[in-house]
Amino acid sequence: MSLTVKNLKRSFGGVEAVKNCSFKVKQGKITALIGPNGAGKTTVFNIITGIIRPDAGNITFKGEPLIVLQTHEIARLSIARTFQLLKLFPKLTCLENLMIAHPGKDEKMFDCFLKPKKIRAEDEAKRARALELLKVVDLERYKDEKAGNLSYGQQKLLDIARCLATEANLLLFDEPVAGVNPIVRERIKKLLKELKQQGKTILIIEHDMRFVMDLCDEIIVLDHGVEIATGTPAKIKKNKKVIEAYLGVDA
Amino acid sequence: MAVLSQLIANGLIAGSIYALMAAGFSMMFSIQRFMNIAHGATYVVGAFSAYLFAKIIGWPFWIAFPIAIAVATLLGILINHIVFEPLQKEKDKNLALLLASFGMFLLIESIILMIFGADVKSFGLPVERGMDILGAIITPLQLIIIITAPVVFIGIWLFLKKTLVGKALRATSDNTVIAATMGINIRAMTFISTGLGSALAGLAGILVALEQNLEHSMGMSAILKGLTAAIVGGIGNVPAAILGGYLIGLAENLGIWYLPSGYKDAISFVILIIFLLFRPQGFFGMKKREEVAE
Repeated sequence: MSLTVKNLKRSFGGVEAVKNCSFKVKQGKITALIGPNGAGKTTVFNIITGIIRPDAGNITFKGEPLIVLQTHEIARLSIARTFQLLKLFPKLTCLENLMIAHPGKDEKMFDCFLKPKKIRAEDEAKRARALELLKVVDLERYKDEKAGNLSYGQQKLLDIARCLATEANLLLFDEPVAGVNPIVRERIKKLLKELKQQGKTILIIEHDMRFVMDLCDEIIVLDHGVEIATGTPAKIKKNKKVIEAYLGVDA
Repeated sequence: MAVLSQLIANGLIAGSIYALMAAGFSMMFSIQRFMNIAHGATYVVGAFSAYLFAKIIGWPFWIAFPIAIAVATLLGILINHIVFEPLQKEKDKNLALLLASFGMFLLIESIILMIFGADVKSFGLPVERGMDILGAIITPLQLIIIITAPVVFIGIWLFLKKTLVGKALRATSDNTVIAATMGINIRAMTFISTGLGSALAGLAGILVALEQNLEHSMGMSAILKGLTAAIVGGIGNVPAAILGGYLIGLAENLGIWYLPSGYKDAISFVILIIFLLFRPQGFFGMKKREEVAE
């Protein structure tokens, strides 16, 4: 088991965004987190990555508890994510956006001045890796362009590439294909499949059901902050509770 | 012609100091997003440490000044660690931080007054004959100021542009939350920006102390001019703040071609008000970016 979420709770004022939510994400699989708007999916992502603290509950990643850690420490445990609303660094170039992933790993500020050779070598390695990733998402020719100048679909791709640049094993994608055209959607689908073959564990939030059903090994359904069903796409399609959650009880 | 050259030279000298203050202020603001008034106290401490080491104790300049800059740097980091960092967790943190930084400014200014007294001090350097450069009379010391500042700025620019830590600083200034999810340690970034920013204030303090005099109350006008320059250039953007510093310095000094020289401050603050009204993002700033809320 890669990621285990247990009895997670978090409310905002009077709204219980996540209440007693538990689920597990299997190593090396693509898992989808679905549910109606307001089901608490993005809140769960924010708690996993340490941006929001839970009121109660536990999260472990490969046996290690996450909720006591700070965001950058969680990132360095090999967990990376993308954001629903694009959150690139618009004033940095595409190449720089990818290069800053995990810069603090073994770099000390004084090394910049004291060991320029070592830093330059690390820098070159990062640059090479970043260029490689730009090739993967076909944005190589925009390497020196400011990220803020790219089109929406290109920014989505760059966001995914930045996630990969961290070399994380657990990848969290928040609506990776929302609002992108069919061509980019197919490219992202292909990319996620390749990542799975490389042994990455992937958790996605997505409203595009065709995309989810085609791609995922397992689906977890949240409704009002609670997990209501888990299973293969075929099973979830037939689950009565899920249909009720999406269409209302009287449907 | 000679008058114009002289005014431009004076503008560059004043601008160098403003730019140093503005760059440090902006560097800290870009990461922590609050107005650190205590930056003015760091500047005073830089100046008085230099005075203490070089004039009172009598160390040679090349030992005294680096140590004075180190003292300023340490002070900035210490204030941040003891006062600002705990306050970052407060709900209404921007107001709390602003007030706390103002309080620290007054506290440090008073300590300086207690130790050194209220009389005006000077390094008492021998008055040197000015050189005639394109009609402007510039003393060697002034020339050092005019040259030192750009050299420091090029260093900062290379640091921000070329090194990974510099890239990480810019990324953090773009968006703190996302930077953290990329594995950037925000506390480390705060530490670095505070240290560098404070070092710049210390350097500015020393240069002013050499060129003019030292007073315990010299910090307020420095932080006001630095703040003005940072806003006029574009707040949170270090190169823009530097250019803002030169802009203010030149405008002040060219303005007194027409106005009595007592209006220098008025010129800066009128420019500030005009910018706040019509171009709050600053001369080089982009439109306000969206917030981080998820």
